[in-house]
Amino acid sequence: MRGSSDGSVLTVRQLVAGYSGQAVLHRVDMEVRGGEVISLLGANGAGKSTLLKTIMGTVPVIAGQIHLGDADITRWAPSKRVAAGIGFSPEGRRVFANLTVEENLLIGATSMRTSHRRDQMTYTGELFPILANRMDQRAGTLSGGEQQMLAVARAMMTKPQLLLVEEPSQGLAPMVVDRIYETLREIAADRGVAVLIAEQFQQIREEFSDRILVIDKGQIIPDEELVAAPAAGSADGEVTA
Amino acid sequence: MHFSLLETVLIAGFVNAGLYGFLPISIILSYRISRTIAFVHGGIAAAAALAYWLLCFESPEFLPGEDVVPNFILQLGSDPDGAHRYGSRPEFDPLAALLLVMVMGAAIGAVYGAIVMSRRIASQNILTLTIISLGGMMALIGIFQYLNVQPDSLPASPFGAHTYVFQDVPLTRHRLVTLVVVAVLSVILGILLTRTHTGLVIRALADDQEAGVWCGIKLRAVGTLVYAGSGALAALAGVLIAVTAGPNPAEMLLLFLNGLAIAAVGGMRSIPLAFVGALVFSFLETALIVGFFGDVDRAVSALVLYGALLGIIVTVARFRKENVFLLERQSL
Ligand SMILES: Nc1ncnc2c1ncn2[C@@H]1O[C@H](COP(=O)(O)OP(=O)(O)OP(=O)(O)O)[C@@H](O)[C@H]1O
Ligand SMILES: [Mg+2]
Repeated sequence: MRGSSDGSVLTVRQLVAGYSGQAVLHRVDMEVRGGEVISLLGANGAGKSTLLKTIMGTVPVIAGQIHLGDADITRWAPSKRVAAGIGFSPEGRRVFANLTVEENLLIGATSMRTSHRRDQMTYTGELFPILANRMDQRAGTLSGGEQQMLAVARAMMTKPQLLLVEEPSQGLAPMVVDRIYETLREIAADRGVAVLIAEQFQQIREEFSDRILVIDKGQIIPDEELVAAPAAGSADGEVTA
Repeated sequence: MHFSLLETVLIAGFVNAGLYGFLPISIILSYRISRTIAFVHGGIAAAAALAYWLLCFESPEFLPGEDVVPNFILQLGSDPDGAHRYGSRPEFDPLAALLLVMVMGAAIGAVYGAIVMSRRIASQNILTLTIISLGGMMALIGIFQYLNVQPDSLPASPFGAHTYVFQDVPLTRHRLVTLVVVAVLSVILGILLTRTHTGLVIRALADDQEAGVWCGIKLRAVGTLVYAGSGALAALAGVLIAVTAGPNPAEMLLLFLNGLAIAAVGGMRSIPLAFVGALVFSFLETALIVGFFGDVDRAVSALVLYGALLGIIVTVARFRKENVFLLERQSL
């Protein structure tokens, strides 16, 4: 059984989180269901990374709750969240440059039982056939597109129910981005995974998303306001990077 | 140059390299996982050397039936009349003492690892972490200074006292066994690092700790394990060095610095390359000591030794097209 009794895989309630007690996210509410692709859009410094890292457990929660299915994971250690079914492909890919593709994937399966780790390779190999031919190549020598695929594949090694992908289009040609988005779409549709993609406004890929959320200054903008002023955040968003 | 001494230099230098191979192993292991220089291991080595000496030095006045408890436990603190005497007791079996001291090293390493590899501290910058490590070393040495131990004799070797003669060069069993132990340990470590999942995890953390955590690695558990292992190795190094150089903390720190320079030959990462450094260092040192280059001043000897190491460090870094210490890879 995936998801909670009402079908949502990830539920974020009134989440306040930030760094050294300083809130960056202000009462964020959000829900992601299995099989759904959600795009989370925001300007530089809007709080996308902070939200995803808080879901992963590496940014401390100040108030509010995070549920994965029916489980309250608000205070869980990151390793426990990964084991429970959250995969994360972070901003900048962050592949292990000195390890081979195969070794990167095996690290992705760290929370799996030893006997299952190799089987998972087939599962992710089907998602990204390009990687299957490059198993022994050092990840640092892969192209940007291949590294992005590896980052997603690594996050898929635990067969997660929730996949968080951060800025997958960063520095990639549109055609490569389309391929990655198609695969993310497929991951949601065929495997029932809840997929949450964080992107900058200009990278919006509406045709691949079931829903779009906009985050600005650490708050999710309600749908009504979006209709009134589409993508307002891009103009006046706080630019920090 | 005195080529008649070449054979001596080669044989003794090779055998002595074993001693120089130890400290770099634990320095490299902890560097790989924390990207900081583990000064604390210098402290563990020094503490272990002293603890070993306290456990198994010979007490000539021992008479059966006398107090077996070492006096130093009863009278901590500095003694105006000089160093403490340690009661009279039968000497402890050196091999058992070595194992005990290694357990102590592992325990200190584990505690230290659990602290510095907690997520809050592990995400501090490298300089802060290095200073924490230096502090750990000073604290350990401070504790043993407080005991006011003044070792006046070399401790016995855990491997026995026999001396072999090979091609007219006397070789102690201690140095021979040390060489074998270093070789075996490095093979085991090599297998651990390349063939097991834990080894893979350690190599991944060397690349990117944060990404490792996002992949489900239990940073603190792995860090504690690595520090415990490298702590035990540092203790072993301390004891084996103490047998030939004495358990004096100041001496031990100098040797730790040698170990650091040797580890740098391997870019703080490669154990085999560090062994090359250990060999070169040992050959040169032996050559200088036995007078292969004639009568060389002590200061000049030191310059030659460290100059040579620096030369290799830079050459190796060039050859691998990497910065010394691989500083450009740090991301956390
Ligand atoms: N480690 C940190 N310590 C303190 N403040 C931080 C830290 N990381 C991020 N912030 C702050 O949190 C806010 C949100 O940053 P965040 O990285 O979440 O934005 P983002 O939406 O991911 O931006 P970008 O599109 O540039 O990646 C910014 O004001 C930033 O300065
Ligand atoms: Mg970001």
